[in-house]
Amino acid sequence: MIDLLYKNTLMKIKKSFGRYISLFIIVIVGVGFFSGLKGSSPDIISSVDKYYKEKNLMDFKIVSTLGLTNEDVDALKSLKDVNTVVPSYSLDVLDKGKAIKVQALEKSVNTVNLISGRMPKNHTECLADSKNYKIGDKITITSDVNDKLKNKEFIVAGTISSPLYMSTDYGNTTIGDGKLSSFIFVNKDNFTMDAYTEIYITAANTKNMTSYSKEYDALADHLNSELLKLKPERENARYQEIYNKADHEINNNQAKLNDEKSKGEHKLSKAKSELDANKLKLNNAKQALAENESNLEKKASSQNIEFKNAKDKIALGWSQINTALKNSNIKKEDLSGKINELNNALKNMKVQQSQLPAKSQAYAQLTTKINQYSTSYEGLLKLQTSITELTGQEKQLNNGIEIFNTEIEKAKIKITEGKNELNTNEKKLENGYSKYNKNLAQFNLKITDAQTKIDSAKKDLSKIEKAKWYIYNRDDIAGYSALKGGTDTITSVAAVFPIFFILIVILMTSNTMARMIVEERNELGTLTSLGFKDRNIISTYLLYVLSATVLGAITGFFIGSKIIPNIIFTTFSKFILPPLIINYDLTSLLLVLAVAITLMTVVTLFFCNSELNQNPAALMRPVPPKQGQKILLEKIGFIWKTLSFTWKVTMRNIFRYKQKVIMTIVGVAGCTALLVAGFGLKDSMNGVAEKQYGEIFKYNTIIALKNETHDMSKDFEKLLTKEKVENPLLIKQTTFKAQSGNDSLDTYLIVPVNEDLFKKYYDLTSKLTESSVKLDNSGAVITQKLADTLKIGRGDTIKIKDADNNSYSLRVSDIAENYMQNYIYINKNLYSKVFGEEVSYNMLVSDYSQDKTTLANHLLDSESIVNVTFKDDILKQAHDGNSSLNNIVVLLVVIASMLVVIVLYNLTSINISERKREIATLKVLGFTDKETNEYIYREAFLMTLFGIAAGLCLGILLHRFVIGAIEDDSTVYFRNIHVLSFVWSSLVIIIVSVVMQIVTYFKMQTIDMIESLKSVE
Amino acid sequence: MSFIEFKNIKKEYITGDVTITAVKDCSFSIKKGELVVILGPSGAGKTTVLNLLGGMDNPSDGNIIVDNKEIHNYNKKQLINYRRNDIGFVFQFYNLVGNLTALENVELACQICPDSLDPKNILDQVGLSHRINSFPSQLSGGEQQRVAIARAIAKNPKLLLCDEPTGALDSITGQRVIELLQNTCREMDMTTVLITHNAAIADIADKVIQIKNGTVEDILINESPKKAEEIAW
Repeated sequence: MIDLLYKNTLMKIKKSFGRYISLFIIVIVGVGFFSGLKGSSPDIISSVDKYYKEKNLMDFKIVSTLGLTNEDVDALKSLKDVNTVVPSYSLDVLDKGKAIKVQALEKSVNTVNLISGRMPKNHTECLADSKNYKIGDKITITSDVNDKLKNKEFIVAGTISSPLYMSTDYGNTTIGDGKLSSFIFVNKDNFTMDAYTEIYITAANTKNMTSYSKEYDALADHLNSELLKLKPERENARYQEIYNKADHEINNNQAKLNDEKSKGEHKLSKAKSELDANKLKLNNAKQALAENESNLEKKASSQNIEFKNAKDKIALGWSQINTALKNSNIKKEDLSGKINELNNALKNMKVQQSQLPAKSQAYAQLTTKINQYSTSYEGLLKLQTSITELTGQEKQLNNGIEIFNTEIEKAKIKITEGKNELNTNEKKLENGYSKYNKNLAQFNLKITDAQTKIDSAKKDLSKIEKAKWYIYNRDDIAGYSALKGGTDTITSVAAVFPIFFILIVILMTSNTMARMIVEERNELGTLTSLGFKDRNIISTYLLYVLSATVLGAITGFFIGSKIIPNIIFTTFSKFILPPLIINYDLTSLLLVLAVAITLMTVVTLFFCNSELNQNPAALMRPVPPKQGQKILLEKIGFIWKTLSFTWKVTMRNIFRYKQKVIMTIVGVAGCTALLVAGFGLKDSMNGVAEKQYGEIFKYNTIIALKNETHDMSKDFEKLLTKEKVENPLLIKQTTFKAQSGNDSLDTYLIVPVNEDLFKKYYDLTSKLTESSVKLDNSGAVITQKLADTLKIGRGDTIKIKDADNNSYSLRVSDIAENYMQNYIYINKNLYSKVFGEEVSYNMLVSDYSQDKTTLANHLLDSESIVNVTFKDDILKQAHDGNSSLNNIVVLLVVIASMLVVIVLYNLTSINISERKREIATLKVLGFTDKETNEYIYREAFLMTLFGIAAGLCLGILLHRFVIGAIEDDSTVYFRNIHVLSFVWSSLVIIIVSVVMQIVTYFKMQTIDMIESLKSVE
Repeated sequence: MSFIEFKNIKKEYITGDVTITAVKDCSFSIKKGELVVILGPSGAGKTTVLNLLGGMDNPSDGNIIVDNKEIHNYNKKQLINYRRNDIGFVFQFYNLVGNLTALENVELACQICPDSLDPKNILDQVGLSHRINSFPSQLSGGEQQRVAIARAIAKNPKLLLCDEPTGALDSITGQRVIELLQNTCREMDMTTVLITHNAAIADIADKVIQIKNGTVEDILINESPKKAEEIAW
């Protein structure tokens, strides 16, 4: 036999199922929302944490301005907090004009998540971002990658997601328009660079740590400081390595050059001396030849003179001879004849002579004739001899002359030949010289060039900037910290809102139990009169309430934990996330159950005991209604008179049953407050970005300069004018930590070059005077969050610390209205005074109304700029950041509305069940259904209206509280709620009320007049 | 010492600054097995006396001794045990548990009583065997009253207290009920105290205590109580 007490309870549940179910549902909604919201952030975090762990996401990334080497890898491996050290490559390229990052596929770190397709099989295939590419797409690199990549074209073999890209904001780059629009992964040996572009590090001992947790942060900090310690020596080492290598090469080259120079010079000088020698030789030869020639000439001419003389002599001779001949009247041709004649004559004569006696006259005559003849003969003979001689001489002379001439000719020819040769040689020599000169010139040029090259290399070497290591951690991954930020917001909302829900739930369930127990006091009396122990009786009520509570809590927990995180997850659509894994945190469930059970038990015990402490007789007597008293309103005669009877009854009831009234008002007020806070949250967050970047910051563009400058160079000014960048204002923007006691906030320090233009772009309104802020030498203007959090006012000093831990103090001259990030504004004089140096500007703000991509492209090409950001992009980012919050607000409002329905239903059903007899009596008396309904509902509606009014006020407070909880160190949300939000909140409640009215109408129809009157009081 | 001693009982109800003295200087005694009728006009204090006897209320002053136990000193726990084990109470307005059937209402009481009687049997004795599975809301007043009586009797108490048991019944049904009470009293030696303003019923009693204005006006001993069948009204 089941304990009938419990059967009684079960019957009660069945009979007044509405009340039980509404209790059940309130608990489901309350616990569900509470657990769901509380579990959302942890679920999202644990899902991504699992993803990060599966993919071995790096903890740190080292990048060096001079590249990284295996020595760096070894040095890093030696750190004890390091698990793996993986050197890798990446490159920003243009694919059909869009900037993408090409990364090397790694097996042990940052592994990719293959979504479709397969891994690349060769160098012409790649894996690409699934959000931008599909399998088969072709990637054509248009930027120059000659000594960096093997390939310029890739086919997408598979699409992936990578833990290095957690959001669709892929990051910045220095090519194209400055924004990366996607990424691809290729096989590592596709890269031909000689130094690594980055080294990925995973930390040791992180296996049991969750990403984003405090322990992880502590570990990362520790490793970071280890890396910082290693940084300078590695920077130096690399610098030295490069410097030394270059220096060595330069020196080698210089030596080689010197060698070549001297060799060349030697060769050239040898050539020159050869040429010179030849020249000398030539000159000598020339001279010799000239001498010869002149000698020859001389000789020839002297010889010719001699010849002439000889010829003259011969001519004389001939003329003598001719004369002689003439004298002898002999022709030359006849001479020999004559001679012969003479000779013969002589001979004859001689014979004759011989024949003659010696002393004869004939003889004497003959001898005289012979002597004559002999003399003539001799004379002729002599003449002939002379002629012969002369002829011979002449012949000889002629011969000689001929020979001489021939010889002269020969000699002349020889000389001419010699001359020609000399000419040839001279020409050769000339060529030789010109070639030599050419060679010399070329050689000099070559040497000069080479030397210049070496000199400029030397200069470049001296200009090489020391290597700079940049240590990046996970916060630099696109979306990584924004994800945390988003979940943090949810955590702060989850810390505040659900508690309010739970309060309402507790209120409603307590109220239900309390009124139920009071309503059933008669039964309580009966049972105790029968001798049932208190604890037995109480246990039946505990069964009632705890069954609803426990079942509701468990159901709500599982439903809420499953549904709400998934809903919230969809608001993270701007991120690229792994699938959500729901954790059912059973300890949380046990905690919730423990709290729920404890609370409900306490409430039930309290009310049961307060009834059971009365003796049974009293319990079985109906509670005498409070003495009907004249209510206050009655005393105000003129109002009271104008009220109809039913209104009078309503008023009396309201003032008589104060507890009921308060309960209704509180229940409704609570729900209204939730709605107001929900709508108000939306109001507070929307428009913050627009206000900040439209009314306070009035610039269109903010440009980061490559090098700090004291003023704008002419070239740069020209570039800006050309690109239609109007009214540029140079500013210095740096980050500091502002401190006061234990509080520390990140803040920007802004110093403008010019205060008038500053006003144009930074329209700061003072929180103290509500007029424009003045930036002057009297002090710094700080933004309101700084003032509020650090409790600093005008005239106080604010301390700021830079990254190297140097502290500076600034006197505060005004506080500016501001919503996003923290800023401190000072003018350049104050800057110089405080920082002890002239300010150099690193950024530029301006107006711009043309095409953004073109501007970005052009400015980045100019190489004096690192980054261009447009206001539209900032606004878009801010909106995206808010979108998840917006969706949570919608969730809140929906659930608050659900709660309203349940609360009003609960209150209504209690109302009706308590007044069954009254309602039945009215029916018996002849009230129509409508009139009966109105009779009951008028009070409820009036109470609802009061509840709404109270709730609207309460909502303002709740809203302030929630805003305070949600705001982080760098955001201020609007405190004011739009009128529409109040209207909407009220409307929701009123609509639900009206619906409830309809429901009660139907409920009341089911009240059987007779049965109710029959029931024993 | 009588089975029940009611000595100088005073009972005051204080609500706010209003004090109502329901019973003052009330004294009587009852023997074991007696059938006693408490007679008096409405508002006399009869129900109060019965409630005090039944351990459902504490006297403001005076002694109540039942079976040598000083009830007036009992704390709540003791009173509960007293009510459980020793008392069977029949209320003027039945006070049945609406969510349980007639049978279950009786079973409810039997559940906690150490030597209870058979519920079905008792319901049969009150003439309701055909209505054992009906809910109170489906029963007439008389039927409900009979269930209440069955409930009280089934407990097999030492003391059976009935507050106007025939108040809402017709004379025939009422007579039957009185008969039942009398038989039970005689057969089971159950001391029975009955409140009524119906003088005819007083004839069946062994003792009639007349209460008026919160105090005992007269105690009459009936040497030869009538049988229930013999009375009529």
